[in-house]
Formats: sequence, C-alpha cells, structure tokens
Amino acid sequence: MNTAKMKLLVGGVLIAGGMTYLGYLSASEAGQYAIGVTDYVTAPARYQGKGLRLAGHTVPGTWQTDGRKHLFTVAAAGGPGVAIAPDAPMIPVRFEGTMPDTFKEDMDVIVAGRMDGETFVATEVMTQCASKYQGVDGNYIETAIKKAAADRS
Amino acid sequence: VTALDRLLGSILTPVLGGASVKLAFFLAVFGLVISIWGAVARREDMIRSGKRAAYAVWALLLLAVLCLERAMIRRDYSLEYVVEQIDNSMPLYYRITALWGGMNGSLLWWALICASFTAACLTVNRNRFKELMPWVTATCCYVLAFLGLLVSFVCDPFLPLSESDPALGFAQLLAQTGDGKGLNPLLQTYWMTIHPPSLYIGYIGFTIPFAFCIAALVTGKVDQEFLRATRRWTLLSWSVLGFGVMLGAKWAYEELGWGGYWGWDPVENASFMPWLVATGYVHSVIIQEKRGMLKGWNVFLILLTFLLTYFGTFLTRSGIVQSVHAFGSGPVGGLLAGFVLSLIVVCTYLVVIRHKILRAENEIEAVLSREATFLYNNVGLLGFMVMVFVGTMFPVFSEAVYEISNGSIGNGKVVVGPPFFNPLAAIITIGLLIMMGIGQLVAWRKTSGAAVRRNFTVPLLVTGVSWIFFLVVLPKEQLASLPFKFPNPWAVAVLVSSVFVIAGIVWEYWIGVRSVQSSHSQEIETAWKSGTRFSPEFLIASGITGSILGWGLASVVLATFPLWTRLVFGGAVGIASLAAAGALSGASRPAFNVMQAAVILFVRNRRRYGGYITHLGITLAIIGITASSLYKIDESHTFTEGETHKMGEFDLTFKGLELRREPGMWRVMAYMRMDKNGEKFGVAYPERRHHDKGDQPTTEVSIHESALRDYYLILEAAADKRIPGSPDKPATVTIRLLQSPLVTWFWFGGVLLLGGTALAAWPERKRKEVTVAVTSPGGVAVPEGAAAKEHP
Repeated sequence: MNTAKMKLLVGGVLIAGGMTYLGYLSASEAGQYAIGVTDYVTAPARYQGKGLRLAGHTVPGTWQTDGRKHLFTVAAAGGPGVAIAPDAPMIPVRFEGTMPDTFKEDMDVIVAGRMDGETFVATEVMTQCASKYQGVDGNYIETAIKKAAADRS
Repeated sequence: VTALDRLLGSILTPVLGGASVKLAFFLAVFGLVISIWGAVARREDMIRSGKRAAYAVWALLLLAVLCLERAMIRRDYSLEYVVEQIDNSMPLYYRITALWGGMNGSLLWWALICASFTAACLTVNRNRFKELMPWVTATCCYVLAFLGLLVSFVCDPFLPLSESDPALGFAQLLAQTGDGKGLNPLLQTYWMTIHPPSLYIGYIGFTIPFAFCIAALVTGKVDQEFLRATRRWTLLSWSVLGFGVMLGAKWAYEELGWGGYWGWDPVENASFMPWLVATGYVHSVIIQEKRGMLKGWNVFLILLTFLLTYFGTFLTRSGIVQSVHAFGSGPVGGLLAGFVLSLIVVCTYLVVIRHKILRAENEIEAVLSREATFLYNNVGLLGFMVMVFVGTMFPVFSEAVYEISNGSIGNGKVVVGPPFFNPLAAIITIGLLIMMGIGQLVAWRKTSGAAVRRNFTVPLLVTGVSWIFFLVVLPKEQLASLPFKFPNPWAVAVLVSSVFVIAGIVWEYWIGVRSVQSSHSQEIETAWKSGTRFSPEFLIASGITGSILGWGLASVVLATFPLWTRLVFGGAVGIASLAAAGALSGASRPAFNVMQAAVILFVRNRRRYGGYITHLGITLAIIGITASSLYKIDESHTFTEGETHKMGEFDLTFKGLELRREPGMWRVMAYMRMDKNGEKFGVAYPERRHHDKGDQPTTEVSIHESALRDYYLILEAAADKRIPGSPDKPATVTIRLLQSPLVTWFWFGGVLLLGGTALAAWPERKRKEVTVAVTSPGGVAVPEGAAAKEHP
C-alpha cells in the first residue's frame, strides 16, 4: 500500500468515524420513544422529560382552539372503530402551531413532544395523512353508505 | 356504436386487460429463461427470441394500461380499481392521472415504464454489446416477471367489482350512492400529475445500468464497454430522479400547507437514498473511465442504487415503518422483501466469484488529486445515505435492540425526526461542498504546487471576502455558548462553502477560456477575418442566459405581477442580451476573442461544463434550502373583518370572507390585502376547501414567489355566520404568514440539475477530424479543462 493510499484510508476512517459519532450523538439527543397512552400511564417516571411520540385517540368534545393554540385530550385507543372505554387512561395535550388539515376529534393521532407535569406539550401533531395509497379519509365509505341510506328513508 | 362500446366496456376491457398482464408475466418468465439458455448455449435464435419476448411484454403492458385508462376515462364502475379511484365529479384530467393514484394502478404503470426502458435499451443497443445483451434482457425480464406477478395475481387492477372483498365496501358504496370513492383531494393537483411519473422514471431507469452490471459480472467484462453502456442511462435516471424528488417537495410546499417542503418522512427518504448513491456513482465512474480504478466500488454502487429503489418501494408499501403517510399493507410487502433478497443473493454471489477482475488497474498517487476528492465525496455521499437509512429504520432497529437486551417486546421503539437528520445533513453537506469545490480545481493523479497556487488563490480570496461579508450582513443571533451576538454558524458555513464552489467554477472556466484563447488564437483570428462575428451556439447561449437573468430580475422587480409578465420580461431581456452579444462581438476584437473562446471551450468540453452547471444547480439549491430553513419568519394572527394588523413586512387587512360553490366542494377564501410601506403590494386568497366527500378540509395556501423571498399565507381557521357551526358574529380568520427567503433557488437549482446533466449526457455528434487539425503545434490544444490538463 503506497503512502497516498494510506493517507486516504486514514482520512476515510476519520470521516466515517466522525459521522458515526455525530449520528450517535444526534440519535441520543433527538430520539423519541414511540409509546401509547397506556404505556405512559403505567410507567410515567420512565418517560418524564424524555422525547416522546405518543399515540392515542382524540376524545370527542375536548378540542378547544383559537386557530393557533390547541388543547385536547388523547385516550388509549381500543382499536379501530371501538369506542373509548369510560375508564380508559387519558392525557391532556397542549399544542401551539398549525394543526394538520386532517385533524379532528375521535380519531387516532400521534403527538410528538414531552410531558410537562400532567400535560403533554406537543411540538408536532400527526394524523394518518391521506396518502397516495389511500383515498379520502378512512371512514368515508362507511359514512357515505349510511348517509345514502338515511337520505332514502 | 353505443352497443359496441358497452360490449367493449363490460366484457372486453377487464378480460383483455387482465389477460394481457397475465400473458405479459408468462412472457417475461419465458424471456428470462430463453435468454439465459441462449447465452449459455450460444444460440442466436434463442437470444433473438428472448428479445422478442421483452418487446411483446412491453406491447401487452401498454395494451393493459390503455384498457385501464379507457375504463377510468369512461367511469366504468365494473372494476374495483375504478370505483376506488374515480368519482362522478372528477374531471378528465384527473381521471387519466388517477392511474397512479392507487397501489394496483401504480404498479401496472411501473411495470409499463420498466418494459419501455427495456424495449428502448434493446432497440438502442441492437447492434452493440453482443455478449452482454442476452444477460441484460434476462435481468430486465426477471424484474418484469416480478412486476407482472404482482399486477397479475396480487394487486390486480382489473379485478371485477363483483369479486371485490365485501369488507372493503366498494360494491355497497356503488350500489347505495351510484358514485365511486374517488381520488384523494390532496392528490388532485397538477404537481401530482408530473411528480410520480418523474420519480418512477428515475427509479425504474436504474434497471438498465443494473442489468448491464449483472451482464458484465456474469460475462466477466467489467470494462470500458460496460461503462459506455451504462453512463447515459445512469445520468438520465439520476437527474430525473433528483428532479422528481424536488417536484415532490414542491407539491408538499404548495399543497400540504405547512410551509415546508421536506420533513424526512420515510417516503421522502426512500426516494432520496438511491439518489445519493447514484450521485456517488456518476462521479466514481469517471475515475474508472480515466484511471481504471474503483471497478469493484462502481459495481457495488450500481447494485446498491438499484436495490435501494426497490427497498424504498418495500418501505413505502409494506407498513414496516410507521409514517405520517398511511401506506397500503398486505402481501406486497413480503413479496417485495423476497424480491430484494433474491437480488442481494444473486449480486453477492456474482461479486464474490468475480472479485479478481474487479481489482484496480492503477493506484491512487496523491491525496491532492481529483480521484482522491471524488473518493472522499463518495464516502460522504454513502455516509449520508447510511445516515438517512439508519434514521428511517431507527424504530425497527431500536425495537430489535430492546427486545434482544430485555427479552421482551414493546416500549423500546425510538423514533427520530428532523432534529436527528438536520444537523447531520448540514455537516455532511458542508463537507461535500468543500470537496466539490476542491475537486473542480485539482488535476488527475497529482497536482503540482504551481497549479495549486494558480487554481486556488483567486477562489480562496473570494471565499475569504465572502466570509467577512456574510459575518457583517447576516442577521445576528444570541448563541447560548457565546457572550456576544453572532450570525448563525450553519448559515455562514454553508454560504461560504457555496461561494467557494461557485468561485471555483467561474475561475476554472476563466482559466480554460484564457488557455483556449492562446491555443486557438489562429482559429479565432480566422473566424474574425472571415467575418464570422459570432457562432450560432454563442447566440443561443447568450439568449438563454439573458432570459434566465431576465427572469431572475423580473422575479425581484415584478414579484407581484402574474407569471406571464415575468416570462415576457425574461424573454425581452433574453432578446436584448442576444442583440447586445451580437453587437459587442462585432464591435470589439478583444470581446469577440474572449466570447469565441468561451463558446469553443464549452462546446468542446460539454461533459465537464454540463457537470459544472449541475454543480451550480445543486449549490444554489443548497443555499435555498439553508436560507429558507434558518431565516423563516413565522407569524400568526386572528383578524376580524376589516382589521389591519402588521405581520412581517406587511400591513395585512382582512377584507372579507368569500364562499364559493364548485363541483364537489365549498371553497372558503379569505380576501387579504397586503400593503408594504403604505403602498399596496398585492392581494392574497388563502383558502380552505370543504369537500363533499369526507369531512377533512384541505388548505390551499396563497404564495407570492420571488427570487429573494416567498410570502406564504395559510388560512388556519375561518368563522362566519354562513358557515355551519360558526358563531353569529362578524367573520374572523386566523392567518399564518411565513416569509421564507430564497425558496425559489431550490426549484431553480433543480431545473439547472436537469439541464446541466442533459448537456453533459447528450450524445456527441460524430466529431469531424478537422477540429484536431487546427490545434497548435505545441500539443494538446483543446484542453480537457485547463486546470486538469497538466500531467507530469
């Protein structure tokens, strides 16, 4: 191996090592635990102050907003189409920013942020964004069929 | 006619379409087998037969697409896919493009593009690469067979509604409402009509280099011929993929209404990863061409690029990674994983048995050489890809690690988002920019001290001056770690390294021009004497350059005027600069001399300077991304009717709410007047659309684009007594105003990327020997770029 190749190799290893280390730093800094409402409620101490991606179901009648500031509650979801159990664990969420178009009450959402005491402070709210492989929103077919039947009767 | 039409629609279309995809699948399998057989047994007739099979697959898939298109255009609700994608209110335009709106149709479309690339490759190379071609046909047929299998038996777009899974509810929906489900409103936009095809062409185009790579490995001929065969296909796919990624960003920017264009979502990452690896390949392949090195590395990069395109597809269609996009799931994911796995096995086997011929013919001689900078760039690009890969797959990896270490499932899933990607991407990008800048200014093999001084002094001086300039000009921020205010260090680093790249391009070109002037002085003199005041190429170039500059100027001066005024203005400046160029070159001998030399240099080194235009495009895009991410001003305010409020540079007045009924939706539009410094700047109509289908409104933002700054208005909320559920009070709207600098540079950079690559890759005309005859007696007169010309 000639000296140029040696130098190159050392440079390459340094670059690769540096990138790996930076990646590790970033990941430990920016990683968010993806958990559900129940996961949090059963072990709150484990997640206090840590970055979280909390999955839950928005509780009907809890969304208050002035267009920019939002307050709502998410509950542990029983599954698609299953109503929230009366004793389901719930977490209030505070969010300031632009709400996705697709956000509404009574739907599955993921909120990203941190717990602040009893309230979850979200920096981002994600809904199941309508994508290429899905038509208009998930419940559309069901709703449309019901509506058509109601119109006829 | 009607009876015939009905017959065609109800019987023939599903039958013919369904039959042709199935036949295409079997023919692709036949093509695969017969081509390999023919190549091994050296049977010409079998090889020919394989090629014909590939052509037939293309024809059958085309027929199938036409059948499906006919059903969609005619709203033939007897097919499940049509009910899913089409409804009664969709205009013709979206009924045509809804072909790639869903999983099944998009896979058929994908298969057709793949077959078209195969047919084009077979036609272009019909008399070339005799030994490689059967294996190329076989590889393409293998990919086509897989796609045919998916479209025929798993994701059948011709599935009759009567056979549709009742749980999906399509049949019931049609019976009850007499209407289809229809394309998602977010996808009913013109960007979605060009973004997916562009992305697909980019993705699928890599099939051809991949096929040649497999062929080269099988036959053991990883040589110049193999490079010639793959270079243009790779450049085409690479630039179109890059452009497609940018179009996707543009769609997100205009349609999703969150003010950004890139969120490191798995879907975006899936398209970005192959592009990064292919960027490495288009550079390292030059090293193999010039120096016979990196054969194995190049093979690895091509194989990886192609695998990543299918891995990306797997990622987006299997549901393995949770994303804000809802993906289809089902058997497709497993099949795609199996396909990718089969390719990995074949590729690994071929590389292992051919490792001897993949050894380099030469070794790197010096660290300060072009090949060394290319190598570092490759390491950086591959590292970038690995970073994106790790970030995308982080939830999967972290969960696996948790499960292994704790022995239980759950709660270990860690997701990373933009805070993970952004700083890493910035660091790597700065490194890549610096390498790009150095690479342009150093020679192959090694660079002498004199050449380093000649090439680097001026660009480094310019860079140094720009550094001071940015420190003074950029807005200062209070950094946590420093006692005084300082401009954002990321911005300074990116901008200064970008200046280094651009200064390098300009300086290198200037050195080249001077060199052509001296070496071609006689040729230029003859042209001058013979009355040739300018060459046609030069006129065209100056016209185009003038038009682009005029467009840029108009974007600043006429920012609020409609697009056509900017286009007209740009055209006018173009014509003016054309006239000026003509006059200037005719009037003054030295000016003619320089310009003629500049034209000669570009025309004779199109590959190199086309590449530099691409570099310029990438650099401008990076500047745009940096500026718009770091210096975005984001404000929000709730207006009552008639209220004026200062936001950013503007006094915004809410003049009233307009409600408009259009087919399939209600449009709620806020009429906003924008005043700047007491004068009217313009009006904006940010709106929300309430679609009859589903209860999700969509946001239509109002964007004022200009070369320096985009003004982006979002209607976040609207209340009015005419809107059900709104209070009986004066109308109110919540408006969010984003001021993002230099966003247009990103789009413009994307266009330059495409244009520069086209210039570099466009096939050369058979050059006449005459050009060699005019060289000076001293030796190489047509420099392959002046900076690179010195050899020891």
